[in-house]
Amino acid sequence: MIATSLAEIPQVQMLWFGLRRLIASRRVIALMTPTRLVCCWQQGSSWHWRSGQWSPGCVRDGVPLQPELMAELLGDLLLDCDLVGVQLELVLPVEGVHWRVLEGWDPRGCHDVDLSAAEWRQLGWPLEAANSDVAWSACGDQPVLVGLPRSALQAWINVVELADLPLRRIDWTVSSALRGLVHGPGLGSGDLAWVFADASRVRLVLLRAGVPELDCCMECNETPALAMELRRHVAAWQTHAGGSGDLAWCFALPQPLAEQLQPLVDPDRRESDVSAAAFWCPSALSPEDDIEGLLPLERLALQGMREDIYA
Amino acid sequence: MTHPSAPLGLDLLRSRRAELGQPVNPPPLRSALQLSLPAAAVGVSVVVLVAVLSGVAWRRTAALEQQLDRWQTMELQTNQWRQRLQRTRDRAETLEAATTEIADRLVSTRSSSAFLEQLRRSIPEAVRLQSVAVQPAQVRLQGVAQDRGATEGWQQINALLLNLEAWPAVPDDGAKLQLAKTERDQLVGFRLDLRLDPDVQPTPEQLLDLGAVGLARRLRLLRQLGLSR
Repeated sequence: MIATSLAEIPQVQMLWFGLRRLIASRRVIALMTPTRLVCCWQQGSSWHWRSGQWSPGCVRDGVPLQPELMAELLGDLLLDCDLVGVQLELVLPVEGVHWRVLEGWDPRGCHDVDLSAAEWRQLGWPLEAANSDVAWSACGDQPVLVGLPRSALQAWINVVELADLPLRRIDWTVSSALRGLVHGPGLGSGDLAWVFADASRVRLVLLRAGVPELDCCMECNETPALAMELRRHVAAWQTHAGGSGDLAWCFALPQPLAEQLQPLVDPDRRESDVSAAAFWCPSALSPEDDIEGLLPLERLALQGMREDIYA
Repeated sequence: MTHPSAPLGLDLLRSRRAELGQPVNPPPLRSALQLSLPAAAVGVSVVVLVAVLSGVAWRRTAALEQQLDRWQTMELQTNQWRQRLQRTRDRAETLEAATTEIADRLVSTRSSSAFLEQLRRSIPEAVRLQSVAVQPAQVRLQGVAQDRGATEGWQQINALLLNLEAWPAVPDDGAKLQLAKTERDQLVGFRLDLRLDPDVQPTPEQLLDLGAVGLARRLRLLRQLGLSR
């Protein structure tokens, strides 16, 4: 009775909360999508996740437009999950971030990306050197440059600051999901056709030896037309890049669309399917989340973030 | 069948940290266990140290208590021995006192012929003693003096007093006339007290002079044995 009464005193609760925040230190992955926020963390040996829906118009083109509302949702979600001592690792949405594979550039041993103006122009992306934040990571043998407008990155940082949370790392959904994909089971040494949804569009990324060689977006109005478009791009890439070895299809798409595209996998062409069911999936904390589930791309992205690169 | 190598982790905050002058990589996370482990180790060390010190102190206390128990037995024995020694000393003192008293009595002149001879030599011819009472430090003489002339009896008594005061054992004013009165038949009765210093003892030579040969020999022998002064 006395213990219960003590626990109900606000000052005791604040003291206990402050103490836990002081001694506890926990990685929490916050996956930002255009429609919702997914938080994932490790509890003991198992991983859990919980999601919260953004208000309409919170995220547009990968940029947070209502940071106060988003920060409130983020803070409330972590508080509801009784998470203290959070070290946040943010995963940015697919839109708004660009990537390029750099050939002939050896970034080993340096963290900064120092490209000349001519090299920057050769990248051919819609980012300005002075107003962009870039970082690189290795895919296979090639470094991959990832960048976004500085204002967009600052907007996401502001969201976390408004939630009064320490920000430890910022990654991108695509690069993280690619890490999760190559870590996942069923992936051979051949080429990989990775298909995932990007807002209203579908993106196809073709990889050879773990290095992305083609990234193209296509509209998703009708499934047969989309299937034909995918097949055409794959065939053109195979013709251009040479070789017609094994090809694995990975449809990181909502289940109905993935099932509709399943006929694309042609065993006669030595093609196989990397089933989305084999992707790693943490446990949902709430019944609502359990019913709704995680999208394949979200599962891949969370899998890619599981490992702490600063451990 | 080999997996393509996994891409390294991406962190878009690295350039921001570098701009702010912070380390490019954040410090690794430390779990509550890792945080509390050193403190717990220190705490456990302190507890172990205190336990060890308590154990040492307990053993030392037990050893001291055992030693104390042994010493208490020894103290008891010592007290018993001390009491026995004291009793022995008391007995020895008693015996010594008794021996001294016996020795003193053996050479006491006041009950011996030497005393009587000395008394005889001090009494004038006209004085007759009627009684002599000898006490340890005092002698009471009672007698009469013949008063042939006008004051001869009184002079004889005075001469007796002077003779007695000349004794070595009689201190100054040690001889006091207590009573003197003229009686019938030309006699003057008197009674005097003679105070004697018990510390003053005659020498063997004096005793020989008084004719107390045996007493002198006895005194010499006792002095040789250390039983007399």
